[in-house]
Amino acid sequence: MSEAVTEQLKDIIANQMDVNIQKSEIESDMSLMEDGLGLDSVAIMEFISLVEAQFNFKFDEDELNMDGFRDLQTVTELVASKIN
Amino acid sequence: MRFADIFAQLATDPTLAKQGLGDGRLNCSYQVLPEIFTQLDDFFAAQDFSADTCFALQFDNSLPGALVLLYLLARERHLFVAPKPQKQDAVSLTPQFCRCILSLKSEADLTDLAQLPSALQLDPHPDYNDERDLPATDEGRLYLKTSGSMGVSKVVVHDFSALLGNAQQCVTRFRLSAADRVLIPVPIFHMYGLGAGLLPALLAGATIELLDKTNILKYIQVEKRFAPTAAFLTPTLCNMLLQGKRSDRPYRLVVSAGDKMRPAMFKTFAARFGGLVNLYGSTELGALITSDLADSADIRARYAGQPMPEVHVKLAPLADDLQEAEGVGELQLSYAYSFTHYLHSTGKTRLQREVTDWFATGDLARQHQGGYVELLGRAGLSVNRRGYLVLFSDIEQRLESLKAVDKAVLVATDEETANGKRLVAFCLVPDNTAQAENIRQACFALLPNYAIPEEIRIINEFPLLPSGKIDRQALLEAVAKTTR
Repeated sequence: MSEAVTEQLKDIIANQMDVNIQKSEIESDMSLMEDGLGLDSVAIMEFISLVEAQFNFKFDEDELNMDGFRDLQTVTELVASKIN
Repeated sequence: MRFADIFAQLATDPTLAKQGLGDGRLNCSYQVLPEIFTQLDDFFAAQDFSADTCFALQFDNSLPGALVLLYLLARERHLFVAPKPQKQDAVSLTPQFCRCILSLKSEADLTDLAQLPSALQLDPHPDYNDERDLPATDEGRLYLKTSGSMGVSKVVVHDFSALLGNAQQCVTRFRLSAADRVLIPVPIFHMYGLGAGLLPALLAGATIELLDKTNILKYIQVEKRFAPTAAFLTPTLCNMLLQGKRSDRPYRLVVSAGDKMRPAMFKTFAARFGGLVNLYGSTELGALITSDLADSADIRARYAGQPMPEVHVKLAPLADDLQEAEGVGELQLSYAYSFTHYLHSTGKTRLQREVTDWFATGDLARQHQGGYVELLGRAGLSVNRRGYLVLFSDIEQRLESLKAVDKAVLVATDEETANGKRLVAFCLVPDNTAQAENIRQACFALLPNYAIPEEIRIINEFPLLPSGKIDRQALLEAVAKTTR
Protein backbone atom coordinates (compact mmCIF):
# COMPACT_ATOMS: atom_id res chain seq x y z
CA MET A 1 0.00 0.00 0.00
CA SER A 2 2.79 2.40 0.84
CA GLU A 3 3.99 2.31 -2.78
CA ALA A 4 0.56 3.48 -3.90
CA VAL A 5 0.71 6.32 -1.37
CA THR A 6 4.15 7.38 -2.63
CA GLU A 7 2.82 7.39 -6.21
CA GLN A 8 -0.08 9.60 -5.20
CA LEU A 9 2.29 11.98 -3.41
CA LYS A 10 4.43 12.25 -6.56
CA ASP A 11 1.28 12.98 -8.55
CA ILE A 12 0.34 15.76 -6.16
CA ILE A 13 3.75 17.42 -6.56
CA ALA A 14 4.05 17.00 -10.33
CA ASN A 15 0.45 17.60 -11.36
CA GLN A 16 -1.39 19.56 -8.72
CA MET A 17 1.20 21.99 -7.40
CA ASP A 18 2.43 25.22 -8.98
CA VAL A 19 6.05 24.05 -9.28
CA ASN A 20 8.11 23.13 -12.30
CA ILE A 21 8.84 19.49 -11.39
CA GLN A 22 8.21 16.42 -13.60
CA LYS A 23 7.03 13.21 -11.98
CA SER A 24 9.98 11.30 -13.44
CA GLU A 25 12.42 13.62 -11.63
CA ILE A 26 11.06 12.78 -8.19
CA GLU A 27 12.85 10.17 -6.09
CA SER A 28 11.23 9.12 -2.84
CA ASP A 29 14.43 9.73 -0.83
CA MET A 30 14.94 13.29 -2.10
CA SER A 31 14.55 16.05 0.46
CA LEU A 32 11.41 18.13 -0.07
CA MET A 33 13.29 21.35 0.72
CA GLU A 34 16.07 23.39 -0.82
CA ASP A 35 18.62 20.56 -1.00
CA GLY A 36 16.23 18.35 -2.98
CA LEU A 37 12.93 19.17 -4.64
CA GLY A 38 13.31 22.78 -3.55
CA LEU A 39 9.78 23.37 -2.26
CA ASP A 40 9.65 26.82 -0.69
CA SER A 41 7.47 27.88 2.25
CA VAL A 42 4.40 28.54 0.11
CA ALA A 43 4.82 25.25 -1.76
CA ILE A 44 5.21 23.26 1.49
CA MET A 45 1.96 24.76 2.74
CA GLU A 46 0.26 23.87 -0.54
CA PHE A 47 1.66 20.33 -0.35
CA ILE A 48 0.33 19.78 3.19
CA SER A 49 -3.16 21.00 2.20
CA LEU A 50 -3.24 18.85 -0.94
CA VAL A 51 -2.14 15.73 0.95
CA GLU A 52 -4.85 16.32 3.53
CA ALA A 53 -7.47 16.79 0.80
CA GLN A 54 -6.32 13.77 -1.20
CA PHE A 55 -6.33 11.35 1.73
CA ASN A 56 -9.16 13.01 3.59
CA PHE A 57 -7.63 13.60 7.03
CA LYS A 58 -5.99 16.43 8.96
CA PHE A 59 -2.46 16.27 10.35
CA ASP A 60 -2.14 16.96 14.07
CA GLU A 61 0.09 19.90 14.92
CA ASP A 62 2.62 17.53 16.49
CA GLU A 63 2.95 15.72 13.17
CA LEU A 64 3.91 18.88 11.31
CA ASN A 65 7.68 18.83 11.75
CA MET A 66 10.81 18.57 9.63
CA ASP A 67 11.39 14.89 10.49
CA GLY A 68 7.99 13.80 9.22
CA PHE A 69 8.35 15.87 6.07
CA ARG A 70 11.99 15.10 5.33
CA ASP A 71 11.31 13.21 2.09
CA LEU A 72 8.50 11.28 0.40
CA GLN A 73 9.32 8.12 2.33
CA THR A 74 8.75 9.80 5.68
CA VAL A 75 5.58 11.49 4.41
CA THR A 76 4.39 8.12 3.08
CA GLU A 77 4.89 6.57 6.53
CA LEU A 78 3.05 9.45 8.14
CA VAL A 79 0.14 9.22 5.69
CA ALA A 80 -0.02 5.43 6.02
CA SER A 81 -0.26 5.74 9.81
CA LYS A 82 -3.10 8.24 9.43
CA ILE A 83 -5.24 6.30 6.99
CA ASN A 84 -4.83 2.91 8.65
CA MET B 1 25.59 55.85 22.64
CA ARG B 2 27.16 53.58 20.08
CA PHE B 3 26.66 49.89 19.33
CA ALA B 4 29.84 49.03 21.24
CA ASP B 5 28.45 50.67 24.40
CA ILE B 6 25.15 48.86 24.04
CA PHE B 7 26.73 45.44 23.59
CA ALA B 8 29.07 46.12 26.54
CA GLN B 9 26.07 46.95 28.70
CA LEU B 10 24.26 43.78 27.63
CA ALA B 11 27.33 41.73 28.54
CA THR B 12 27.76 43.20 32.01
CA ASP B 13 24.18 43.75 33.19
CA PRO B 14 23.69 41.12 35.94
CA THR B 15 19.91 41.10 35.33
CA LEU B 16 20.51 39.89 31.76
CA ALA B 17 22.61 36.84 32.66
CA LYS B 18 20.05 34.48 31.11
CA GLN B 19 19.33 36.45 27.94
CA GLY B 20 21.05 35.97 24.62
CA LEU B 21 20.71 34.85 21.02
CA GLY B 22 20.14 31.49 19.38
CA ASP B 23 19.12 29.78 16.16
CA GLY B 24 18.09 26.29 17.26
CA ARG B 25 21.59 24.90 16.65
CA LEU B 26 23.82 27.35 18.46
CA ASN B 27 23.23 29.70 21.39
CA CYS B 28 25.19 32.44 23.06
CA SER B 29 24.45 34.54 26.10
CA TYR B 30 25.08 38.27 25.98
CA GLN B 31 27.86 37.74 28.51
CA VAL B 32 30.10 36.02 25.97
CA LEU B 33 29.78 38.72 23.28
CA PRO B 34 33.00 40.53 24.33
CA GLU B 35 34.94 37.27 24.15
CA ILE B 36 33.63 36.47 20.66
CA PHE B 37 34.36 40.02 19.50
CA THR B 38 37.96 39.76 20.74
CA GLN B 39 38.45 36.56 18.76
CA LEU B 40 37.09 38.27 15.68
CA ASP B 41 39.45 41.20 16.30
CA ASP B 42 42.36 38.80 15.89
CA PHE B 43 40.86 37.43 12.68
CA PHE B 44 40.41 40.88 11.12
CA ALA B 45 43.70 42.31 12.45
CA ALA B 46 45.54 39.57 10.57
CA GLN B 47 44.10 40.87 7.28
CA ASP B 48 45.25 44.51 7.51
CA PHE B 49 42.13 46.29 6.22
CA SER B 50 41.66 50.04 6.22
CA ALA B 51 38.93 51.54 8.39
CA ASP B 52 36.51 52.11 5.52
CA THR B 53 36.99 48.73 3.82
CA CYS B 54 33.54 47.43 2.98
CA PHE B 55 32.69 43.78 3.67
CA ALA B 56 29.79 41.97 2.02
CA LEU B 57 28.10 39.52 4.39
CA GLN B 58 26.64 36.32 2.98
CA PHE B 59 25.22 34.20 5.76
CA ASP B 60 22.14 32.19 6.55
CA ASN B 61 19.63 33.76 8.90
CA SER B 62 21.39 32.20 11.85
CA LEU B 63 23.61 32.94 14.83
CA PRO B 64 27.09 32.95 13.18
CA GLY B 65 26.00 35.55 10.63
CA ALA B 66 24.28 37.60 13.32
CA LEU B 67 27.44 37.61 15.46
CA VAL B 68 29.65 38.76 12.57
CA LEU B 69 27.10 41.48 11.84
CA LEU B 70 27.03 42.63 15.49
CA TYR B 71 30.81 42.57 15.62
CA LEU B 72 31.11 44.84 12.59
CA LEU B 73 28.51 47.17 14.12
CA ALA B 74 30.43 47.26 17.40
CA ARG B 75 33.69 48.08 15.60
CA GLU B 76 32.11 50.84 13.43
CA ARG B 77 33.07 49.10 10.18
CA HIS B 78 31.50 49.32 6.72
CA LEU B 79 29.28 46.45 5.68
CA PHE B 80 26.97 45.50 2.85
CA VAL B 81 24.24 43.05 3.84
CA ALA B 82 21.69 41.14 1.79
CA PRO B 83 20.06 37.74 2.30
CA LYS B 84 22.39 35.00 1.11
CA PRO B 85 22.14 34.67 -2.68
CA GLN B 86 22.36 31.45 -4.68
CA LYS B 87 26.00 30.44 -5.11
CA GLN B 88 26.11 31.32 -8.81
CA ASP B 89 24.86 34.86 -8.06
CA ALA B 90 27.13 35.45 -5.05
CA VAL B 91 29.51 37.74 -6.93
CA SER B 92 27.14 39.39 -9.42
CA LEU B 93 24.81 40.48 -6.61
CA THR B 94 27.62 42.01 -4.54
CA PRO B 95 28.47 45.67 -5.21
CA GLN B 96 31.97 46.13 -6.57
CA PHE B 97 32.97 48.54 -3.81
CA CYS B 98 33.00 45.59 -1.40
CA ARG B 99 36.62 44.52 -0.93
CA CYS B 100 35.74 41.04 0.35
CA ILE B 101 32.86 38.66 0.67
CA LEU B 102 32.53 37.15 4.14
CA SER B 103 30.80 33.81 4.57
CA LEU B 104 31.02 30.55 6.49
CA LYS B 105 32.98 27.65 5.06
CA SER B 106 30.20 25.34 6.18
CA GLU B 107 27.27 26.26 8.36
CA ALA B 108 26.77 22.66 9.47
CA ASP B 109 30.40 22.12 10.54
CA LEU B 110 30.41 24.99 13.00
CA THR B 111 29.31 23.39 16.27
CA ASP B 112 31.12 25.60 18.78
CA LEU B 113 31.18 29.41 18.61
CA ALA B 114 34.80 29.43 19.82
CA GLN B 115 35.59 28.11 16.32
CA LEU B 116 33.79 31.00 14.59
CA PRO B 117 36.93 32.84 13.36
CA SER B 118 38.43 29.70 11.84
CA ALA B 119 35.09 28.85 10.18
CA LEU B 120 34.94 32.19 8.39
CA GLN B 121 35.79 32.47 4.73
CA LEU B 122 37.02 35.73 3.23
CA ASP B 123 36.94 35.93 -0.57
CA PRO B 124 38.24 39.00 -2.41
CA HIS B 125 35.68 40.49 -4.78
CA PRO B 126 36.95 39.59 -8.28
CA ASP B 127 35.62 42.85 -9.79
CA TYR B 128 36.58 45.07 -6.86
CA ASN B 129 36.35 48.73 -7.84
CA ASP B 130 35.79 51.25 -5.08
CA GLU B 131 34.57 54.64 -6.22
CA ARG B 132 33.01 55.60 -2.92
CA ASP B 133 33.50 59.23 -2.21
CA LEU B 134 31.45 59.70 0.91
CA PRO B 135 31.94 62.45 3.50
CA ALA B 136 34.36 61.38 6.22
CA THR B 137 32.85 60.03 9.41
CA ASP B 138 34.14 58.17 12.43
CA GLU B 139 30.99 56.05 12.39
CA GLY B 140 30.43 52.81 10.58
CA ARG B 141 28.09 52.60 7.64
CA LEU B 142 25.54 50.03 6.57
CA TYR B 143 24.91 49.41 2.86
CA LEU B 144 21.67 47.76 1.70
CA LYS B 145 20.21 46.88 -1.68
CA THR B 146 16.99 48.70 -2.61
CA SER B 147 14.02 46.40 -2.21
CA GLY B 148 12.64 46.95 -5.70
CA SER B 149 15.52 45.57 -7.67
CA MET B 150 16.33 42.00 -8.57
CA GLY B 151 19.95 42.92 -9.32
CA VAL B 152 22.19 45.39 -7.47
CA SER B 153 21.13 48.52 -9.27
CA LYS B 154 21.00 50.84 -6.27
CA VAL B 155 22.64 50.71 -2.87
CA VAL B 156 21.25 52.56 0.16
CA VAL B 157 23.65 54.01 2.75
CA HIS B 158 22.82 54.36 6.46
CA ASP B 159 24.98 55.81 9.21
CA PHE B 160 25.08 53.62 12.32
CA SER B 161 23.72 56.44 14.48
CA ALA B 162 20.59 56.55 12.31
CA LEU B 163 20.15 52.79 12.65
CA LEU B 164 20.39 53.13 16.40
CA GLY B 165 17.95 56.02 16.55
CA ASN B 166 15.46 54.10 14.47
CA ALA B 167 15.87 50.97 16.61
CA GLN B 168 15.35 52.91 19.83
CA GLN B 169 12.03 54.20 18.57
CA CYS B 170 10.93 50.63 17.80
CA VAL B 171 11.76 49.53 21.37
CA THR B 172 9.46 52.23 22.71
CA ARG B 173 6.59 51.76 20.25
CA PHE B 174 6.62 47.94 20.51
CA ARG B 175 7.21 48.08 24.29
CA LEU B 176 10.00 45.54 23.98
CA SER B 177 11.65 44.50 27.24
CA ALA B 178 14.13 41.99 28.66
CA ALA B 179 11.15 39.77 29.49
CA ASP B 180 10.38 39.31 25.79
CA ARG B 181 11.35 36.23 23.83
CA VAL B 182 11.60 37.49 20.27
CA LEU B 183 11.36 35.16 17.28
CA ILE B 184 12.81 36.51 14.01
CA PRO B 185 11.98 34.24 11.05
CA VAL B 186 12.43 37.10 8.57
CA PRO B 187 15.90 37.93 7.17
CA ILE B 188 18.09 39.95 9.54
CA PHE B 189 20.01 41.07 6.44
CA HIS B 190 17.07 43.26 5.37
CA MET B 191 16.05 46.56 6.93
CA TYR B 192 12.92 45.05 8.47
CA GLY B 193 14.51 42.10 10.25
CA LEU B 194 17.56 44.13 11.28
CA GLY B 195 16.27 47.63 11.96
CA ALA B 196 12.86 46.78 13.41
CA GLY B 197 13.50 43.25 14.73
CA LEU B 198 17.03 42.28 15.74
CA LEU B 199 18.47 45.65 16.83
CA PRO B 200 15.43 46.76 18.89
CA ALA B 201 15.26 43.32 20.53
CA LEU B 202 18.94 43.65 21.45
CA LEU B 203 18.49 47.17 22.80
CA ALA B 204 15.70 45.83 25.01
CA GLY B 205 17.92 42.97 26.26
CA ALA B 206 15.36 40.43 25.06
CA THR B 207 16.04 36.77 24.31
CA ILE B 208 16.31 36.33 20.55
CA GLU B 209 15.79 33.33 18.29
CA LEU B 210 16.57 33.40 14.56
CA LEU B 211 15.01 31.08 12.01
CA ASP B 212 16.46 30.38 8.56
CA LYS B 213 14.40 29.46 5.44
CA THR B 214 11.19 29.54 7.40
CA ASN B 215 8.39 27.16 6.57
CA ILE B 216 5.38 26.02 8.58
CA LEU B 217 7.10 22.85 9.81
CA LYS B 218 10.12 24.71 11.19
CA TYR B 219 7.92 27.44 12.61
CA ILE B 220 5.69 25.07 14.58
CA GLN B 221 8.78 23.32 15.98
CA VAL B 222 10.55 26.50 17.05
CA GLU B 223 7.37 27.96 18.51
CA LYS B 224 7.01 24.93 20.76
CA ARG B 225 10.66 24.89 21.80
CA PHE B 226 11.36 28.61 22.14
CA ALA B 227 7.95 29.82 23.42
CA PRO B 228 8.16 33.31 21.89
CA THR B 229 6.26 36.28 23.31
CA ALA B 230 6.91 38.34 20.19
CA ALA B 231 7.48 37.60 16.50
CA PHE B 232 8.41 39.64 13.44
CA LEU B 233 6.45 38.28 10.48
CA THR B 234 5.09 39.22 7.05
CA PRO B 235 1.53 38.81 5.74
CA THR B 236 2.74 35.69 3.88
CA LEU B 237 4.05 34.18 7.13
CA CYS B 238 0.86 35.19 8.99
CA ASN B 239 -1.17 33.47 6.28
CA MET B 240 1.04 30.42 6.64
CA LEU B 241 0.27 30.27 10.38
CA LEU B 242 -3.44 30.75 9.76
CA GLN B 243 -3.46 27.81 7.38
CA GLY B 244 -0.94 25.55 9.02
CA LYS B 245 -1.40 26.00 12.76
CA ARG B 246 -4.07 23.78 14.25
CA SER B 247 -3.99 25.34 17.71
CA ASP B 248 -4.08 28.98 18.82
CA ARG B 249 -1.67 30.63 21.22
CA PRO B 250 -1.39 34.21 22.43
CA TYR B 251 1.56 36.41 21.49
CA ARG B 252 2.12 39.67 23.30
CA LEU B 253 3.23 41.20 20.01
CA VAL B 254 3.26 40.13 16.38
CA VAL B 255 4.62 42.68 13.94
CA SER B 256 3.69 42.26 10.27
CA ALA B 257 5.60 44.22 7.65
CA GLY B 258 6.69 44.04 4.04
CA ASP B 259 3.22 44.21 2.57
CA LYS B 260 -0.26 45.34 3.50
CA MET B 261 -2.44 42.75 5.18
CA ARG B 262 -6.11 42.56 4.26
CA PRO B 263 -8.21 43.74 7.24
CA ALA B 264 -10.34 40.55 7.29
CA MET B 265 -7.23 38.39 7.56
CA PHE B 266 -5.79 40.76 10.17
CA LYS B 267 -8.83 40.28 12.40
CA THR B 268 -8.82 36.50 12.06
CA PHE B 269 -5.11 36.39 12.91
CA ALA B 270 -5.46 38.76 15.88
CA ALA B 271 -8.35 36.67 17.26
CA ARG B 272 -6.21 33.50 17.15
CA PHE B 273 -2.75 34.80 18.03
CA GLY B 274 -3.15 38.12 19.82
CA GLY B 275 -1.27 41.42 19.62
CA LEU B 276 -0.87 41.98 15.90
CA VAL B 277 0.33 45.33 14.52
CA ASN B 278 1.10 46.42 10.98
CA LEU B 279 4.42 48.12 10.38
CA TYR B 280 5.15 50.25 7.34
CA GLY B 281 8.75 50.98 6.54
CA SER B 282 11.34 51.05 3.80
CA THR B 283 14.93 50.09 3.13
CA GLU B 284 15.76 53.76 2.71
CA LEU B 285 14.08 55.17 5.80
CA GLY B 286 13.54 52.38 8.33
CA ALA B 287 10.48 51.75 10.53
CA LEU B 288 8.06 54.59 9.82
CA ILE B 289 4.42 53.98 10.59
CA THR B 290 2.94 51.43 12.97
CA SER B 291 0.11 50.86 15.39
CA ASP B 292 0.33 50.88 19.12
CA LEU B 293 -0.95 47.76 20.90
CA ALA B 294 -3.31 50.08 22.80
CA ASP B 295 -5.20 50.85 19.57
CA SER B 296 -8.35 48.79 19.01
CA ALA B 297 -8.05 45.70 16.78
CA ASP B 298 -10.31 47.44 14.26
CA ILE B 299 -8.01 50.47 14.03
CA ARG B 300 -4.94 48.25 13.84
CA ALA B 301 -6.54 46.21 11.04
CA ARG B 302 -7.60 49.17 8.91
CA TYR B 303 -4.58 51.40 9.12
CA ALA B 304 -0.81 51.08 8.88
CA GLY B 305 -0.88 53.09 12.11
CA GLN B 306 0.52 56.41 13.24
CA PRO B 307 3.89 57.82 12.19
CA MET B 308 6.77 57.14 14.57
CA PRO B 309 8.22 60.18 16.37
CA GLU B 310 10.50 62.21 14.03
CA VAL B 311 8.54 60.99 10.97
CA HIS B 312 6.73 63.69 8.98
CA VAL B 313 3.99 62.81 6.52
CA LYS B 314 2.94 64.60 3.33
CA LEU B 315 0.50 63.43 0.66
CA ALA B 316 1.62 64.63 -2.76
CA PRO B 317 -0.83 65.13 -5.65
CA LEU B 318 -0.86 62.27 -8.11
CA ALA B 319 0.40 62.33 -11.67
CA ASP B 320 -2.28 63.03 -14.29
CA ASP B 321 -2.72 59.52 -15.62
CA LEU B 322 -3.73 58.13 -12.23
CA GLN B 323 -7.26 58.35 -11.01
CA GLU B 324 -7.93 60.96 -8.35
CA ALA B 325 -9.81 59.96 -5.25
CA GLU B 326 -10.80 62.10 -2.30
CA GLY B 327 -7.89 62.76 0.04
CA VAL B 328 -5.61 60.24 -1.69
CA GLY B 329 -2.05 61.14 -2.55
CA GLU B 330 1.39 59.67 -2.89
CA LEU B 331 2.88 59.11 0.53
CA GLN B 332 5.99 61.20 1.09
CA LEU B 333 7.95 61.06 4.30
CA SER B 334 10.84 62.73 5.98
CA TYR B 335 12.63 61.12 8.88
CA ALA B 336 15.52 62.16 11.09
CA TYR B 337 16.99 58.62 10.96
CA SER B 338 16.85 58.03 7.23
CA PHE B 339 19.51 57.10 4.67
CA THR B 340 22.11 59.55 3.42
CA HIS B 341 23.02 58.35 -0.10
CA TYR B 342 22.13 56.14 -3.01
CA LEU B 343 25.23 54.59 -4.57
CA HIS B 344 25.87 52.80 -7.84
CA SER B 345 27.27 49.30 -7.63
CA THR B 346 30.79 50.75 -8.02
CA GLY B 347 30.20 53.03 -5.06
CA LYS B 348 29.86 56.16 -7.16
CA THR B 349 27.25 58.48 -5.66
CA ARG B 350 23.86 58.48 -7.42
CA LEU B 351 22.14 60.74 -4.97
CA GLN B 352 23.24 62.60 -1.91
CA ARG B 353 20.52 63.91 0.35
CA GLU B 354 19.83 65.57 3.65
CA VAL B 355 18.26 63.10 6.06
CA THR B 356 15.30 65.44 6.41
CA ASP B 357 14.59 65.63 2.64
CA TRP B 358 11.19 64.33 1.54
CA PHE B 359 11.24 60.77 0.29
CA ALA B 360 8.63 59.67 -2.27
CA THR B 361 7.52 56.16 -1.32
CA GLY B 362 5.55 55.32 -4.47
CA ASP B 363 2.66 54.21 -2.26
CA LEU B 364 -0.85 55.63 -2.32
CA ALA B 365 -2.24 56.69 1.05
CA ARG B 366 -4.90 58.66 2.87
CA GLN B 367 -4.58 60.15 6.34
CA HIS B 368 -7.37 60.02 8.93
CA GLN B 369 -8.15 61.80 12.16
CA GLY B 370 -5.52 61.16 14.81
CA GLY B 371 -2.84 60.89 12.13
CA TYR B 372 -3.67 57.29 11.19
CA VAL B 373 -2.34 56.43 7.75
CA GLU B 374 -4.32 54.14 5.46
CA LEU B 375 -2.34 52.52 2.64
CA LEU B 376 -4.08 51.96 -0.67
CA GLY B 377 -1.52 50.25 -2.89
CA ARG B 378 1.27 51.25 -5.24
CA ALA B 379 1.16 54.46 -7.23
CA GLY B 380 3.23 53.16 -10.13
CA LEU B 381 3.95 50.03 -12.09
CA SER B 382 4.97 47.76 -9.28
CA VAL B 383 3.41 45.33 -6.89
CA ASN B 384 4.21 43.76 -3.57
CA ARG B 385 4.56 39.98 -3.71
CA ARG B 386 5.29 37.98 -0.57
CA GLY B 387 6.83 41.12 0.85
CA TYR B 388 9.12 41.74 -2.13
CA LEU B 389 8.60 44.87 -4.14
CA VAL B 390 8.43 43.71 -7.75
CA LEU B 391 8.80 46.19 -10.59
CA PHE B 392 6.72 45.34 -13.64
CA SER B 393 9.63 46.41 -15.82
CA ASP B 394 11.89 43.76 -14.22
CA ILE B 395 9.49 40.94 -15.11
CA GLU B 396 8.81 42.32 -18.58
CA GLN B 397 12.52 42.55 -19.35
CA ARG B 398 13.17 38.99 -18.24
CA LEU B 399 10.29 37.71 -20.36
CA GLU B 400 11.60 39.67 -23.34
CA SER B 401 14.99 38.01 -22.86
CA LEU B 402 13.32 34.83 -24.17
CA LYS B 403 13.72 34.29 -27.91
CA ALA B 404 10.04 33.45 -28.17
CA VAL B 405 8.85 36.76 -26.72
CA ASP B 406 9.02 39.99 -28.72
CA LYS B 407 7.31 42.13 -26.15
CA ALA B 408 5.77 41.52 -22.74
CA VAL B 409 3.40 43.67 -20.70
CA LEU B 410 2.42 42.82 -17.16
CA VAL B 411 -0.78 43.67 -15.31
CA ALA B 412 -1.78 43.02 -11.69
CA THR B 413 -5.41 42.15 -11.06
CA ASP B 414 -7.30 42.67 -7.80
CA GLU B 415 -7.54 38.95 -7.18
CA GLU B 416 -5.39 37.82 -4.21
CA THR B 417 -3.19 34.71 -4.49
CA ALA B 418 -0.78 33.18 -1.97
CA ASN B 419 1.92 35.37 -3.55
CA GLY B 420 -0.06 38.62 -3.53
CA LYS B 421 -2.02 40.21 -6.36
CA ARG B 422 -2.53 37.90 -9.33
CA LEU B 423 -0.14 38.77 -12.18
CA VAL B 424 -0.94 38.23 -15.85
CA ALA B 425 1.76 38.74 -18.48
CA PHE B 426 0.67 39.44 -22.04
CA CYS B 427 3.29 38.30 -24.53
CA LEU B 428 3.67 39.13 -28.18
CA VAL B 429 5.08 36.00 -29.82
CA PRO B 430 6.62 36.02 -33.31
CA ASP B 431 4.66 33.75 -35.68
CA ASN B 432 3.03 31.85 -32.81
CA THR B 433 6.31 30.05 -32.13
CA ALA B 434 5.67 29.51 -28.44
CA GLN B 435 2.81 28.49 -26.23
CA ALA B 436 1.80 30.26 -23.05
CA GLU B 437 2.50 27.16 -21.02
CA ASN B 438 6.09 26.89 -22.27
CA ILE B 439 6.77 30.54 -21.58
CA ARG B 440 5.51 30.17 -18.04
CA GLN B 441 7.70 27.12 -17.49
CA ALA B 442 10.69 29.10 -18.69
CA CYS B 443 9.86 31.69 -16.02
CA PHE B 444 10.93 29.28 -13.28
CA ALA B 445 14.52 29.66 -14.47
CA LEU B 446 14.27 33.41 -15.13
CA LEU B 447 12.56 34.79 -12.08
CA PRO B 448 12.35 34.21 -8.34
CA ASN B 449 9.22 32.18 -7.50
CA TYR B 450 7.39 35.15 -5.96
CA ALA B 451 7.74 37.10 -9.22
CA ILE B 452 6.43 34.45 -11.64
CA PRO B 453 3.16 35.62 -13.21
CA GLU B 454 0.21 33.35 -12.42
CA GLU B 455 -0.78 33.43 -16.06
CA ILE B 456 0.84 34.05 -19.44
CA ARG B 457 -1.39 35.12 -22.31
CA ILE B 458 -0.36 35.26 -25.94
CA ILE B 459 -1.54 38.41 -27.67
CA ASN B 460 -1.36 39.37 -31.35
CA GLU B 461 -1.49 43.10 -30.88
CA PHE B 462 -1.37 45.37 -27.83
CA PRO B 463 -4.24 47.82 -27.28
CA LEU B 464 -2.88 51.37 -27.43
CA LEU B 465 -3.86 54.68 -25.88
CA PRO B 466 -4.19 57.75 -28.16
CA SER B 467 -0.68 58.71 -26.94
CA GLY B 468 0.67 55.50 -28.43
CA LYS B 469 1.39 53.98 -25.00
CA ILE B 470 0.12 50.53 -24.19
CA ASP B 471 -3.36 50.62 -22.65
CA ARG B 472 -2.87 48.55 -19.50
CA GLN B 473 -6.42 49.27 -18.39
CA ALA B 474 -7.75 47.55 -21.53
CA LEU B 475 -5.54 44.53 -20.76
CA LEU B 476 -6.95 44.40 -17.23
CA GLU B 477 -10.47 44.51 -18.63
CA ALA B 478 -9.61 41.67 -20.99
CA VAL B 479 -8.48 39.64 -17.98
CA ALA B 480 -11.63 40.49 -16.00
CA LYS B 481 -13.85 39.40 -18.91
CA THR B 482 -12.29 35.98 -19.22
CA THR B 483 -11.81 35.17 -15.55
CA ARG B 484 -14.71 33.80 -13.61
